Amino acid sequence: MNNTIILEEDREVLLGSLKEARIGFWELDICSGTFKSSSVLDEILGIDNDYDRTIEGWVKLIHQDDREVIYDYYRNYVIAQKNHFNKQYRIEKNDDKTTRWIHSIGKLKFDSDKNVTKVFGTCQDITERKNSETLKNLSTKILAILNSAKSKKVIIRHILTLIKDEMKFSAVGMRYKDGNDYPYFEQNGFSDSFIRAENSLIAKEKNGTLCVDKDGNIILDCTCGLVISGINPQSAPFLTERGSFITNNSFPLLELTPDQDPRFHPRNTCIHRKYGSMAIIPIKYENRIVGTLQINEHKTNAFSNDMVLFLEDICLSIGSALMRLDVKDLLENKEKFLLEVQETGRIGTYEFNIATNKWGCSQILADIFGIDANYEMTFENWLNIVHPDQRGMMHDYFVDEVLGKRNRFDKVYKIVRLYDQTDHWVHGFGKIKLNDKNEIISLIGTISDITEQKKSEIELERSESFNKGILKSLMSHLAVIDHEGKIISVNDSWNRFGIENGETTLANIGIGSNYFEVCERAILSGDKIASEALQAMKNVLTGIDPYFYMEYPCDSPDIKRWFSMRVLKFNNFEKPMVITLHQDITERKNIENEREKAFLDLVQRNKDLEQFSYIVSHNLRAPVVNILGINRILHDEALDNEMQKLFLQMLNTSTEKLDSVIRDLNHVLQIRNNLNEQRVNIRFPDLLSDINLSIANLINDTGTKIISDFSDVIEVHSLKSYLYSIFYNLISNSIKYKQEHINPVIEISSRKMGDTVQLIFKDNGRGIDLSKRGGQVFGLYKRFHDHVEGKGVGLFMVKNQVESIGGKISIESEVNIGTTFRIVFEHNNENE
Amino acid sequence: MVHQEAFNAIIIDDDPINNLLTTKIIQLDFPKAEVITFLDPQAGLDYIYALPDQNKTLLLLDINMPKLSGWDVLEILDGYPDSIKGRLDIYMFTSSISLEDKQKAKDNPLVLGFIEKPLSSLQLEIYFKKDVDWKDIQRNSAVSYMNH
Repeated sequence: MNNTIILEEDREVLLGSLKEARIGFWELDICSGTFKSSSVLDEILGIDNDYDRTIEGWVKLIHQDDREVIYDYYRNYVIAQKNHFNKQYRIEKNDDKTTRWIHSIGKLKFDSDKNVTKVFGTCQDITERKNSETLKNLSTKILAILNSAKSKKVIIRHILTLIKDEMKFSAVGMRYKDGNDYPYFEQNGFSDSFIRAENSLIAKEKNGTLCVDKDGNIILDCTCGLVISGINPQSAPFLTERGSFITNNSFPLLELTPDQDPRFHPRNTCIHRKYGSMAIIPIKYENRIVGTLQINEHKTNAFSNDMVLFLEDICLSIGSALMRLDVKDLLENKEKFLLEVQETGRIGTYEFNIATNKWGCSQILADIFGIDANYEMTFENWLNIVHPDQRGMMHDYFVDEVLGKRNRFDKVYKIVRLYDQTDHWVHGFGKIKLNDKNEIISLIGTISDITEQKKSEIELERSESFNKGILKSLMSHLAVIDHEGKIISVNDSWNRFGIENGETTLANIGIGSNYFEVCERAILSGDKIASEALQAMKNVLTGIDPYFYMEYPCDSPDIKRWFSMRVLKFNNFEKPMVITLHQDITERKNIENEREKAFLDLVQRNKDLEQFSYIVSHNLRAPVVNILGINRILHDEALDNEMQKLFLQMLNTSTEKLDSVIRDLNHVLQIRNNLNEQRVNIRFPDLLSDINLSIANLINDTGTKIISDFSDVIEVHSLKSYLYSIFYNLISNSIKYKQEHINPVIEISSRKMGDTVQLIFKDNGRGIDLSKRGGQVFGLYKRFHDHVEGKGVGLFMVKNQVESIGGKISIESEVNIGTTFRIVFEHNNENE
Repeated sequence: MVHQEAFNAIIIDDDPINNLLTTKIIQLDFPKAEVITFLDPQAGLDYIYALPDQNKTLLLLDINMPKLSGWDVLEILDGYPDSIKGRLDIYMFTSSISLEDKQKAKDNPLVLGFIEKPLSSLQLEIYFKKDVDWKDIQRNSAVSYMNH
C-alpha cells in the first residue's frame, strides 16, 4: 500500500509541475472523432466538462479568421500526409470569448496498417509572446512612417489607422494644439456626433464665459483636459508615471463624487457611449504637451502594461516627429519671409570710410543694430555691437581677410542689439573700394538680420540629432538598403556589431558596400541563412512579401547566440528600399530552450513513471495471480494429497516472491527520499575497501581481481549511500555475469575531463548484445541472462541513483569480451 | 465440470509455478488434454515448427519474458508457413492488466484473445463454446474475444 501512495505522490508532483508551466495536454482519437484534454488545456480553451469534445467542437474554438487554414492544415497536411501537428493559431475562448494565441504541437499514433489512430500532444497559451511581437512589428512600422517625407496630416492619419487596425481598438484619435484649444487633428472610428460634442475642450460657464484659473490660463474640460494640463501624475489618481490616463474599466468613474474627481467639468461622454477602456496619452515636444493620443475601446480590460508603455513610447516619437515637421514648415515659411524682406528692401546698407574710421548706415541697418543717429559710428563701436564671444574673431577677420587679403566681406555673426541687449544673428556682405593708387578707401555692403532663420536651423539640427540619437540608441542593428543592395544608412549598433565580430570588416558591411554581394559571398561558402536572407530582402523589395521575419543561430567564437532578422519596405522614395534589422535575441531564446528542456525532462519523467507503473503492475501481479490460481485449485476436491502438498509449497514460494518484489520496489522508491541526506567528501579508495570487506567471500570464491586507479580524482562531494550502492551494484554485477571458466577482472578508474569527473568500470564478463535490447539495459526487471539468478533491479537502481545526484551513465559492451560502464558527473556538483 | 474432449495445449512462460498450475487447472477440467510447457520461448518455437500434422492446438503465450518477449515470439511465428500458423489458436496469457498490452493483442491478427492469469475453468469453457456473448465474458472478466 505504502508504495502506491508514494507513486501517487510522484504523479502529483509531475502533474503539478506541468500545471505550473501552463502546458496543456490533448489527445484526439481519429476513429471516434473526439478529443480528451487536461485540466490546464480546459482552462486555456475556457471549456468545462460539458463541452462538446468532438472535432467540430475543436474547430468551433478556432478563431474564425484562422479556422479554415487550420482545419485544412489538420486534414490535408497532418492526417492525409501523416505529419506532426505544429501550429500557432488563434482561438476564441469558450467562456469569455476573448481571443488568445495558442501553440499546439502533436504527434501521431499509428495502427499496424500505418493508419493514423490518434494525434496527441501539448498546447500552450502564447498570447503574451505574440502580443509583444505584434507591438515590436508595429513600432517598427510606425517609426518608418514617422520618418517618411509625407505631410503631418497624412503621417498622423496613417499611424492612427495602423494602431486601430493592428491593435484592434474601437476608435483612435489625436488632439493637437490649435490656439488655446486642442481639437481632434485626425481620428478614426469616432462618430460625427461624438466629434461635434467633444471637439473643443475649452471649459465654459453655463452663461458661455470662458473659465480661467488664478493665473489667467484657460481651463480645459474633462479627462483630456486633465492630461493636457500636465499636472503632476503623483497628485492625480488614474495617471501613469508619464502622465497618461489609462482605465481598463471606465464605468466606476461615473460614481466619483466631485471631491474625489480630479477632472474639471467631467463630461463622461466616452463612458456614456459605453467605451469600457480608455487611454489618453500626452504628446509632448520639448516638454510642452501639444496634444494627446486617445484610444477608446468598447471592451473592458483592453490595455496591458506592455501596451501602455508601447503607446507612451509611440507618443514620444510622434512628439519629436511633430517638432521636426513644424520646423520644416517654419523654415519654408521663413524663406518666403526673407524673400519678402529683400523685396521690400529690409536689408540694411552701410559705407565704411577706412581713412576717417567713420561709417554711415541706412535706417534699416540702424534698426537691426538697435542704434540711433547719435551713435558714434566707428570701427571700434561696430566691434562693440558684435557679440563679445565673437569680437576677437570678427576683428581678425576684418583686418586679415578683408583689409589684408582684400577679400569680400561675407560673414554670419552674432551681435547684441544695442537698444534691448538681445542677441541676434546677422549676415554681413561688403566690397572694398580702391582708389587709383590701389589703396583701400572704403567698404560698402549690406547687413541683414537672420536670427529667425538661424534659430530654425539650430532647431532642425537638434531635432535631426534627436532622431539620430534614437537610431543610435536602438539595440537592433539597422541598415537601409536600396534596390540594388547598396547600404544607404546604418546605425551605431550595426557598425559596432561589425567591429565586434571581426570576421566581417566595417568596409564590407558599412555604408556604400553592397549587402547583396556580402550575402552572395556567404552563400558561396555554404551559408544557408544568408541565402534565405537574400531571398527575403529581394521579395520584400519587389513587393512579393510585405514583410519578413526569421530567427537564426549566429555563434561567435566563444558564445552561442541567436538573432532575429526583420525586413521592412521603405515606401517613400522613388526606388524601393528596405530596412533590415538584426537583433540579438539570445536571452529570449535561451529562456525558450530552457523551457523546452524542462518540458522534455518532464515528458521523460512521465514516460519513466508510466514504464514504472507498467512494471509494477506486471511484477506485483505475477506472484499474486499464482497465489489466486493455487488458492482456486486447492479447493478442488479432485486433488490428491501429493498434489495438495506440491501446491502448498508453491503457495509458499509465490508469497515469498511477492514479498521480495515489494521490498525491491520500496528500495527503488526510497531513492528519491534519500536526497535529503548530507553530502560529504567520499574518497574512492575508502569506498572500494568497504565494499571489498562486505563481499570478501564472493570475491575470493570467484577469484575476482579488482584493479583501481584513482590518481586523477581521488574524491567527490556527494551522497555516500548512493555512491556505495553504485559501486556495489556495478561490482557485483560484473562478478555475477562473469564468463564461465574465466576469473573476473574489474578495472575501476576516475578521470577529470574538462568540467566533468568520469568514473569508469570495465570488466571482462560475458557482455550484452546491445544492438538487440540496448535501450532496456537500465530498465526495471529487465534480465538478459536467464541462467543466472538476477532480479533486474541493480542497474535500474544504479541509473536512478546516478541521475539523482546529477550524473549520467552509459554502457559499452561486447558479447564474450566485457562491459564498460561510464559515469559522468558535472564537476561543479562538488561544491553544491 | 469434467469434460471428455481431448485437445493439445502449449504454454510458453518463464514462470515455472504458473506453468505447473495452469497445466493442473486444464487437466482437472479436461483430463484428456495434453499440455506441454516451455520456460524458454525458443524451445517452444522449435517445438511448434516441428509440430506434427494434427488438430487445433491452443497456445498460451506469456508477454514478459527475458530474451524473447511474447511479442517477439509472435513476430517469429508470423514468418512461419500458414500450415503451421493455421493450426494454432493463440492467446496472450499474462499477469499484465495494462490496456496497452490489450490493445496490442487486439491489433495483432495472429492473436485470438487476451487471457489474464490465472486461467479459470470458465475461460476454458468459453474457448470451446465460441458463440458466447462477449459481454458475458467481460462481466466475468475472463477472456476478451477479438472482433475478427
